[in-house]
Amino acid sequence: MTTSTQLPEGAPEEVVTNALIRDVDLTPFGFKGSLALITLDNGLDHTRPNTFGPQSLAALDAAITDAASRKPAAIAIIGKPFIFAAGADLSALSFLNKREQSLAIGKLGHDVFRRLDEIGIPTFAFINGLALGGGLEVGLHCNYRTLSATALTGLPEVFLGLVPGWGGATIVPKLIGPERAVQIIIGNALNNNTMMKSKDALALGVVDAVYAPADFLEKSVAFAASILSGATKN
Amino acid sequence: MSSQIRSVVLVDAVRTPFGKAGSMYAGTRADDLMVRAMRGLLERNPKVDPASIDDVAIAAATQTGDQGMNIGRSATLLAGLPKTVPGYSIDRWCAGALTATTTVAGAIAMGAIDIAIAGGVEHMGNHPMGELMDPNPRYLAEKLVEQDALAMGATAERLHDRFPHLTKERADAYALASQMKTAKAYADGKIQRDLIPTAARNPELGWAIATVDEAPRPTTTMEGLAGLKTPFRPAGRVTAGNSSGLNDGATAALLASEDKAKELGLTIKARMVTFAFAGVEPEVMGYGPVPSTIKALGKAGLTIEDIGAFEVNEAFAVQVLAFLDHFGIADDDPRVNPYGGAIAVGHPLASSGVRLMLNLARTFEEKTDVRYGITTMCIGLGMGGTIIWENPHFVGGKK
Repeated sequence: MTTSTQLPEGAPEEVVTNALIRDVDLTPFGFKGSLALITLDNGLDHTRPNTFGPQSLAALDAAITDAASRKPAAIAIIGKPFIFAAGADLSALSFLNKREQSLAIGKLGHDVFRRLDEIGIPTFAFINGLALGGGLEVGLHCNYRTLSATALTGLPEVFLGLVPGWGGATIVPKLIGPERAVQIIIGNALNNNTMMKSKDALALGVVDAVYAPADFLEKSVAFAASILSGATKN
Repeated sequence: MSSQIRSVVLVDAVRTPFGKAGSMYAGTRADDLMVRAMRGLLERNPKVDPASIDDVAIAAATQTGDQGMNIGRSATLLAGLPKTVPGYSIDRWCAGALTATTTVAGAIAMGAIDIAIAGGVEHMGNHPMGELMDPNPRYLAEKLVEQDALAMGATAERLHDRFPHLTKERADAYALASQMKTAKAYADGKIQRDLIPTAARNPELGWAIATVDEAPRPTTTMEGLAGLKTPFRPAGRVTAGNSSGLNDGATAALLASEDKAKELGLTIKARMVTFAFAGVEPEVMGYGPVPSTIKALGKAGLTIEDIGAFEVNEAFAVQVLAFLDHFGIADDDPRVNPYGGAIAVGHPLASSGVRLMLNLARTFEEKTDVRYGITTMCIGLGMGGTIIWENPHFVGGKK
C-alpha cells in the first residue's frame, strides 16, 4: 500500500470493519475446489453498518492478499447479518483540509477495490444486506454479484454532494449502459435518495442473481460453483 | 373422511451437518438450522407444492429462546412456507423428531392430513442440557426416581451395573466401530448424500458453510478410548469416547399417505408398519428401546428375526449393547448402524430420530433383500421409542 492510512487531524477514531476469511469447500456444490470467503464485520450489530475508513480498507487489502495466497478457485465477499457495507466512513471527511488528503482517500479505495478485478481469480460479491455507496462499489469491482432479495442497494453520493468515486461512476455505465447508470447515480439519488429493491437491481443488470435471504449464502455459493464449473454461463 | 387406516410413507429426509455444541454453529441460531433443513428438504422434492403441506411438527428438547416461540410454526414462517401452512412443537426429549414423525403419521393414517413435515432441532451450545429445568423436589423426597435418573451419563453407568457382562471394553469396542463405520461411510460418500450444506457464522471467524459433521473422530483407537476419564463415576465405564457428544443440528422428514405420494409421483423411501413407546425405570433409561421394540414387534405381528436393518441411536454404547444383548444380536452385527451412529456423528437431542430414518432409508435402497427395519432410541426419564418400517424396494430373498 503506497497511500497513507492516517486520518486527518481531529477526526474521530475509525470504527474498523474487519475482513475475516475462511475457506468454503465447493465439492458439495458440484465443483472441485475451494472458495475463499471474506466476511466484512465491524463487530457491531446492524445499527452500526460496516463502513470503510483507512484501516478498514487496509484490512480488506490484507484479506485479499491472504485469500489469493490460499490458491482458491474463487474469492467472495459477504457482509455481516443484514449489512453488506454502507460505504466510506464519512465521519472523517469533514475534517479534511488538504487536497492531498482527499485525493488519498479516493486513491486508497481504488487501490484496494481494483484488486478484486485484477487479481486473476474469479471474484464474487455476495451482497447479503444493505449496500450503499462504497459498499456497492466493492461489489461492482467483483466479477459477479448475488443479492439478497430483501437487501436495498444504491449510490447515494450525489444526494450527499459527492460523486460515487470508488468506481461507481465509471463501472456502472460500463456494466449497464449510460442511461441506466444515470438513473441509478443521479436519478435515484435526487429522487429522495431512493434505493434499489432487489428486483430493480436485477432488472437493471447491476447484479447477476437474487436469492431469498433464508439461504442466501448457500445459494450464492452454489451460484459461484455453477459459474466456475461452466454450468451457468455469463 | 375415510374411517380406514391409511398407509404412511417416508418420502424423504435430510439433515444439516451436525456441529460440536457451540463450535461451528456458535453464531448460528437453532431456528435458522431448522429452516435450512426444511428448505433443503423441499428443494429436493420439487413435486411437493409447499402450500399442500398440511402440517409441520418440529421437536426440540428445550423450547425457549431460538428453540421456542412454537418452533414448529416459527420455523415454518421463517422457512418461507405459505402462511396457510400450520405448525406445532413436539417434545419427548431425545425422541422428539421420532415422536414428530409418529404424530404426523397418526394424523395421516386417520386421514386428517395427507402430507407433513416432521423434524427436530437442538442447539446444545445455545441450550445446554438441563437449561431451565426445575425438577419437582418430590422426585427425590418421595424417591419417585433415583438421583441418577436426571443425569444421563449416570443412567448409562447404571446400565453397566445392571448388566456386568456389558463391560467397558465392549462399550469401547462398539464406540470404535461406530467411528470406523462413519469414517468409511464418509469415504464412500454415503453420509454426504443427505446433508444440506448450511451457512454457519462465527462472529469471531466470519461466515462459512458446514458441509460435513464436525464431531467424528476417525483416528480413535482402543488405547485412546481406554485412557479417557469416566466423568459420571470414579472408576466408572462411561466416557466421552463411548457416548454421544453435545451437538448442534437439525433434521427434517417429509411424510405422506402412500396414496398421495403415488398420486404426486413422490419417492417412497420407507413404509411405516407401526410404532410404540414404552417406559422403564428412569435410572436405566437406556434400556427403553427393549420394551418399546418388543411392543412394536407385537403390534406388527413380527419377531426380531424379521428385522433386517437396525438404526439404534447411540446415546451411549452400553445402551445399544443392552438392546443387542437382549435380542441376542452380536455387538458387531453388520445389520446394526452400518453408517455408524451418534457416537461418531453426534446427537443433537430432539433432532436425532429423523437421522436414524434417513440412514435406514439408504440401507433399504442398498439392500433390496431386507424387508423390515427399525429405528429406535432411548429417552431420558426412562423411555424408549421404536418405529418399524417396511422396505418399499424389497424384492424377496432374505427377510
